[in-house]
Amino acid sequence: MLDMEIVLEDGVVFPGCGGGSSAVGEVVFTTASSGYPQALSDPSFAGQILVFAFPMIGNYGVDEHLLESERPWVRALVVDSIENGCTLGPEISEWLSGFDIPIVRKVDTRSLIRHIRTKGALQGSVGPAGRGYREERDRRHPVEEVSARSCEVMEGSGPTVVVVDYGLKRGIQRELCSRSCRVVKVPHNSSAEEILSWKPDGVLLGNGPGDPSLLKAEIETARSIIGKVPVGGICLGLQVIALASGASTFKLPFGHRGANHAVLEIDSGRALVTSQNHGYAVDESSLDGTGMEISHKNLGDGSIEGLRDRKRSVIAVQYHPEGSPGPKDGEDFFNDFLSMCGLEAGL
Amino acid sequence: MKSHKRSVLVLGSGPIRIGQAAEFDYSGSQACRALREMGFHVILLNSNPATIQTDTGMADVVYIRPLEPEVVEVIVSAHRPSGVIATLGGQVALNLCVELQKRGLWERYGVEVLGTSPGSIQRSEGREDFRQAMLKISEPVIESVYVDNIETALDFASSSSYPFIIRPDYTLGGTGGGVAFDTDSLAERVSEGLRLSPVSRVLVERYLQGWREIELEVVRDGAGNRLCVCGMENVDPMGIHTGDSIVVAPVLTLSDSQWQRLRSAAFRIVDELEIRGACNVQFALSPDASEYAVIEVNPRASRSSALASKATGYPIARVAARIAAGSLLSEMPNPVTGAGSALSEPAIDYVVAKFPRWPFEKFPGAEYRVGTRMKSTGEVMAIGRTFIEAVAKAVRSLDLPVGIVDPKIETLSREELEEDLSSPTHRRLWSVFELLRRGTSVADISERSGIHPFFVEQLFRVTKTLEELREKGLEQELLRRVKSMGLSDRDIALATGQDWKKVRETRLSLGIERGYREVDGCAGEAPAESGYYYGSCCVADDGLITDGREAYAVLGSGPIRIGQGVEFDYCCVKAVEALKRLGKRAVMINNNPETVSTDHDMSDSLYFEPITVEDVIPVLDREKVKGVFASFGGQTSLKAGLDLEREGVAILGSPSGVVRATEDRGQFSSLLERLDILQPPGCSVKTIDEGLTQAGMIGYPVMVRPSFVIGGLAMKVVTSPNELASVLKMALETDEDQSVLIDRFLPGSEFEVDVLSDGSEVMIPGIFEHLDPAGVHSGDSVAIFPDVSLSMGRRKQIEDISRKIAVELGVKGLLNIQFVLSGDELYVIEANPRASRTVPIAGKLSGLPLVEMAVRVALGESLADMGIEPGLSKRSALFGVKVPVFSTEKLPGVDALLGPAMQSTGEALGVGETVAAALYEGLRGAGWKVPERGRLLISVADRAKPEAPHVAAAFHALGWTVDATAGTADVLRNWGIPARKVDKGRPLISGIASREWDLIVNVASGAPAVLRDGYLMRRAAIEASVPCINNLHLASALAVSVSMLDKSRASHKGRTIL
Repeated sequence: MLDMEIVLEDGVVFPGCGGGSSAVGEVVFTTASSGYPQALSDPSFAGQILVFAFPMIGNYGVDEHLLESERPWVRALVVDSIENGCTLGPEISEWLSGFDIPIVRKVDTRSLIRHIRTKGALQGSVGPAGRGYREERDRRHPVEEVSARSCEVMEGSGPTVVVVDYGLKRGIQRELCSRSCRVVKVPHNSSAEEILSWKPDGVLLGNGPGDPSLLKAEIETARSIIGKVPVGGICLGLQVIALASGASTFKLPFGHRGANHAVLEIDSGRALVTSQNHGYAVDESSLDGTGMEISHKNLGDGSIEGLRDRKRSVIAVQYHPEGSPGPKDGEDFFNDFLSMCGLEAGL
Repeated sequence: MKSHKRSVLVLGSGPIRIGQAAEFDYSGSQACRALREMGFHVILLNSNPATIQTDTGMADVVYIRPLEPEVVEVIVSAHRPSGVIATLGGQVALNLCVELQKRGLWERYGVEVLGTSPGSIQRSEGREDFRQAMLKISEPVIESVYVDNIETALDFASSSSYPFIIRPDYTLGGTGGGVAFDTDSLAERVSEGLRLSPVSRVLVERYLQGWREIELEVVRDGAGNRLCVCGMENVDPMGIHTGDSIVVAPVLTLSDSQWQRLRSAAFRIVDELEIRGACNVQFALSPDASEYAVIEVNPRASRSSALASKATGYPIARVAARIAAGSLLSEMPNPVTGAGSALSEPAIDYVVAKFPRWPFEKFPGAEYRVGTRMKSTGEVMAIGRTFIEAVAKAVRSLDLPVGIVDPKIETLSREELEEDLSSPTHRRLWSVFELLRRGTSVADISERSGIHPFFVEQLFRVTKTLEELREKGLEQELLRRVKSMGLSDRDIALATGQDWKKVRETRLSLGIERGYREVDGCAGEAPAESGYYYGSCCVADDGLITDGREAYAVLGSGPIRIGQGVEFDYCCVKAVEALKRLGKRAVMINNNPETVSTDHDMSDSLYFEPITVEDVIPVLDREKVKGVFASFGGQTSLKAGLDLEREGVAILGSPSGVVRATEDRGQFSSLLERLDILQPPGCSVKTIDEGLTQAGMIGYPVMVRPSFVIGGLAMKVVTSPNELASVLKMALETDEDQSVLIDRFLPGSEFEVDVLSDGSEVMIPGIFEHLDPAGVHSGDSVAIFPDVSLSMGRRKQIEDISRKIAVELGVKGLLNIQFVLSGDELYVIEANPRASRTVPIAGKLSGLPLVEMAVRVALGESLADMGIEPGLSKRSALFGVKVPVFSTEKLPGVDALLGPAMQSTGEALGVGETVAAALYEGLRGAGWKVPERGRLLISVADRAKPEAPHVAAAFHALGWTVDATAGTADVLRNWGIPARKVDKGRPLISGIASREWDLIVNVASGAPAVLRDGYLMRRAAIEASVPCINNLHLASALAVSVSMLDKSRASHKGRTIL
């Protein structure tokens, strides 16, 4: 029986079933066909209702040892068909219900996605059939929800990298650790002094959810450390760096979420297939005078995928070089970052 | 002759055989189109006349000639192309390219090998080179050794553990491969493999039983940019050839990290091999996915790349051709959406299933077990929202008498069903369903079959649902659930015991209908306007934008089968092109992923759907189709046309009345009688008893054939009542409504024509003369076009009879008529109101666009309107000889003796100024290697002994040595021909196996397949790839050909066919 629905802010209703709890949030979709446990546990999806374009989700269960954080962060999951496979871990429905995250099944996800593609990003709510649209009440920035509250040190024989956790994916940590780095994860609201007190060889601003331009304090902090130590950025981290340098960001029509985005590395002319998850992008026209130059561009819509400032030792990418979910074709970013920090990657 | 434009030679793949089907017509045609778009002058070489690729318009210069080094040299010296592309014509083109590289031809003529280099090809294909390359980049390969003798293989085996898999080097579709579980079978397989390998080398490798098989289609450009177009997962485990496996896309059972690990490995591999173009990488994955190994790499377009292209909409061959010509992926627009980048990996929001189509119904003697040796002749693909929907649609597309529900399977014993788990046959899927129904657990089935529990669990869901249907009947919610699962009305009807029409009525009254979604390569993220759709029950329709042109649909021919090959796809594509040229909207419906017709660039709308009433009608409604062409897709579409017409659909050209008048024996007989045309005496029967009585009256031998057949399925010449009874039993089993025709068998020579009729006048492009005697299926006969031995009077008679039949039937389109000249009388054997197997050849040789004309006639034009001169066309200066190609080497146990049931999988065409020249060309094109001077073995049945000396003497005069079996040798010697006597039995067979003779002429005695000597001789000839001729007529013709070789060669210099 169709006992649930997802209602968009423009009033359009997509029926489904599931019988779970209710949720509100921005409705976004991803086109990647594998890696649902990683997507669901990616803190960048905090505050969002995630729609999978691929119609069969749950085939192999949840590979809990490879999640991107300790829990799923999406507000709700919207799918066509849930398969309760469990070859690699618990069943997806069991796992999500443990966190009281509703799943709406049997939704015509293709129509929903085509609607979002046409209308642009929309808020939506999930709940019992016939209940109608409910508005978001929680006005906190989702970074506050997902960031670590305290510092955490992962020892390594190599360079010290302070990673600012705006909702950091474990994949980024894993890449640094596999390169022998000593990784210090610090909360999003750490001050420049706190960050620099770790005497880092480099600082990496990580990924995270929400509108980057609202992160005033974080932007301010970034501004004070850029130039003092080599700084890298990934996804939200790139946007924070751009904002700290005086550029501006804008909301993309419906974001880039998937594992198939083609990105051009401008210097080498090489192109990569990348994993992406972002709803905002840096405005190219705002770069004048910031000292930042474009290192990567999206071959699809031409949006900025990488920025660099050689003088102040900054490199940043909009895509996810750690993949997870998605390809690691761009993992050289981590080597580039470490070599910018004056260090050879100790793979 | 050198063009001012850059010119490029494209090597095709030759005739269709098991392991090499229509996929290379698809990749080759795409390549030609892409290169011409880029401004290249394209020269094409391919011996297969039934292809779109060899059509004028695809290339600037088309050579229908053998794919042989000597031929390439002639072409290269005449045209001086700047480059050659060999990676889009399958293994045949690749091997030819490597061979010519070794001979230094490319260098000598300054021809650049475009795309993946010969060096890279050798590193990917030569297994030892490949192992070294993988070792270098630390990619695991499977423990193995190369051997050129049995002893080394046994040595290796003693240091490792059984079972082993044996793969001969450089062969198609794993020919000659096999699994050995003990010393004896290892020795046997290795010796067989050594014989089949062109380099006499086989690989002995550890056999990873129960491992999963995953394939990736990677495209890489000259700058090292690469993407994985599609990942595909074999539902069947290692040990079953991927061509014989059910395959799904995308990969469904792997986590992201497991998938990315394989994807990254594939990228490291294509980087190391410096691939420039398309590449297929196959991995074996241990059951828990902790370990993987590279199975093999195909550095070219392949069956899998065609499947990946159709599964995603991403045209791999087209992109690969552009890469070969120097383009970069980073600079090309996305080929599906037109916007974005060609490097964006396709994202899909559906599941694709591929299902193999096996030819076992044709070969009662064949071994049904499938394994490492590919046995399927073709495949279907289906797209659904879920795995189950895709599989259910794929099963419907197979054009078998069963769907997901097969009542016959219920009669099998548990042991028989269980045997299908460990040692699968073509019916394994149904056995799994039945075992699940009988209570075997998912885990048990998975364990024993090696099929991942995810898939078995999915199948179990179908079983449970069917059980529910059996209990509850057509309950509303249940029906909705079952339909959205993807099961057909017929499956539901069988499960509920209702009529399928009742099921349809019920569901339509509940508003359960199909919606159509576009295959866009981006999972709905961007508008694509690909015009490529699939249907799914209970989903919203993506919407259709049309431009007001009238829409017409062309029904395709489904999977490639014996009797229904690529030629029908050719006709469908030509029909689509014609419709577009006439300003109509062309809608194509087909389900074969290998073909050109399912390239969404060809038609205005492509529907990848089963060709059944349930699946086709909603398409026609959606497109507001004015009329349907059912006569181009062979018997499959013709039959579907009849069903559709019953539902009120307008069938163009040959409506059901015409089809019935030709297919219904009674109707056709009375029609011929009315027109005063002779036909062999006969009748139509529905039971065995009736058949025996009637045959007694007609007189033996009789020809037995079921009506509505493809390629003479279950057709047979029968000499005794006992034999008749067993044949009738088999024939009547294939279809319940089946009736069987019993005709007097008339010995003689056969002729056939393809007639274009507008209902009142006809045009005949020429007459095909068969070289094989009556009784051999027309598809298996060597045929000359135009005929060479008919008198003017006979030609006129054939023309008149054809006109009478066509006009009487009122055919508006193509009609194929077969004749036999027996004694001094001309009889009509059969007529088929549809495009036939020979249409592409007749069209190409006569230069007449037969299919386009047929379309125009069906739409209302007359021959006069089109300015077509009626009657038998003027003869051209050239002869063509069609030579069939068999794949019997792939099917152990099958006898190569020809009969009324068609066995060939493809054909080659030879063209020349003389029949002798054309025949020799045709034979070479079909892979025959007949030297100018060699050794002949001749062995004929008593009835052929009077004629045998002619043939033997002819070869003797050409300087051949002649050996013969005892009886034949006596006759030859008495005539004075020095024939060495060879004893039947072991020495004879081992002599054939060691290729002691270059040509074997064997005329079997009356009762076929019973005489073991003949069977063993023919089978040995197949296994040893020695040409073996079964009739003296063809043998004489070959002698004439060989005697004229010098003259033929001279006439062939630089010939082009356009």
